[in-house]
Amino acid sequence: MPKWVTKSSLEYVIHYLKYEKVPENVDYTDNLLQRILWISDFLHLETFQQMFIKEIIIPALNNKNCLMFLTESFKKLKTSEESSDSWYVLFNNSMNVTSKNLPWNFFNKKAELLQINEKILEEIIERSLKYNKNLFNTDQKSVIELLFHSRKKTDIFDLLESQRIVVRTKKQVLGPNQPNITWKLSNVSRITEKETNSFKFGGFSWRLVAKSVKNASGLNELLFFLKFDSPVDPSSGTENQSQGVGTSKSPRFDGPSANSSQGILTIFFVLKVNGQPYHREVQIRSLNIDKNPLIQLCIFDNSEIAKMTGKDNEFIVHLNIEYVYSAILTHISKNVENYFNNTKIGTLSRDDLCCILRNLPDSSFHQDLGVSFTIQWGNIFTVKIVII
Amino acid sequence: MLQQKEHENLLEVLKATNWEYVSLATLVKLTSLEAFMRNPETKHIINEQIKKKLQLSKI
Repeated sequence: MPKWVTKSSLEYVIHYLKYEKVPENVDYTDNLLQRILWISDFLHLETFQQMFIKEIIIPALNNKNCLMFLTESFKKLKTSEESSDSWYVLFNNSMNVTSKNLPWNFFNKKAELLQINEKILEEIIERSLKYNKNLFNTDQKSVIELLFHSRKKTDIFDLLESQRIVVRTKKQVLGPNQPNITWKLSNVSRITEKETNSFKFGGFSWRLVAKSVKNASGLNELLFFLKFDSPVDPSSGTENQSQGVGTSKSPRFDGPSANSSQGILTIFFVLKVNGQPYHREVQIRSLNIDKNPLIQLCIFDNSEIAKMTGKDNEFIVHLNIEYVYSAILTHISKNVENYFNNTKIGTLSRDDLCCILRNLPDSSFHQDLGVSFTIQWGNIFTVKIVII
Repeated sequence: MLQQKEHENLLEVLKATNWEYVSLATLVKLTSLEAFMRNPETKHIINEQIKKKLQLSKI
């Protein structure tokens, strides 16, 4: 037998083979769990292994051993093409437990955490942000540091830019399984303000809004918005069931807590008007839940309104919530004093900057910093002054 | 001089600031920014905020 086989782990497996049940009153240390798993693999005891993973290891996953079993299952899946489903189940469960305990692992097992494959680490980060009950109020320092590591970046604005690129290359936003909202409108030229019934998506309740405004030249424009309505209680039922709005393929509830009532939330979307994509690329927009809960989706000028008049028009919005982008913007807003001298502030979009400013605390110190941030962002002034 | 688009962007950003909490000292320093004060709209925002602060300080 290999040297790593211990007496207790071998006795455990022999007991199972002899009596077809696991021994009672076992003190399952992480080491014992690992050794039994190794023996089952070494001896190709597939039935035992499936039972052991499902009934013993997965219920025993916790903050301290999740990384170990994540690594074990990943190694197995990587080296063996014919791994049983139970290894995938263990891998997925280990990722979930690691995600839920990411801050603990970051502070207590950082070296081990940084050894994880970068793509898996990013998946863990994204799941962690989804699970985090205080997503919008927490400064995700651990998440930001891990993102720096996985993206090999050192500057926060470079990190934001890299996430922008990641989002824009996400193909699934147009996929058939992605949630979308359909709004059919006729007589668009007569609209002054109109909105859909609320619909549920990503753990929140939303509406689409169409509003007619006069532009600087006095001409009519029709603006479409996505409006944040309220958080949704996960126990209240399934998503996307409101009347008056056609929906399809809604995702399961996996959003943040229903208590989330403030902070930055980023959406990426694709809009189709009468079957045609409205933008050339995936759009990324952020909103402030408590202070400015609107995202402008598109704007139609007079001539475009005229083209749509007299026929039924169909607007389809494919939506996704972008947790990582939200976390980076939130981090900047919570640490604005560290960044207002950064020469890369100018790479922020106006939309991002507005969200950061609105998310600043209501204090003279922070709002003064916000003004400095704006001046640096603009980079358009011939005279530079130091505000603080 | 700022381009029209840059002014529009700046105005949007200024609207996102919670001026109630911006200090009078910062507002006064902003008046020394030439590009800021050349534009009637941004100048108006800054001046209005200074007036408000001064009225509040009288009370």
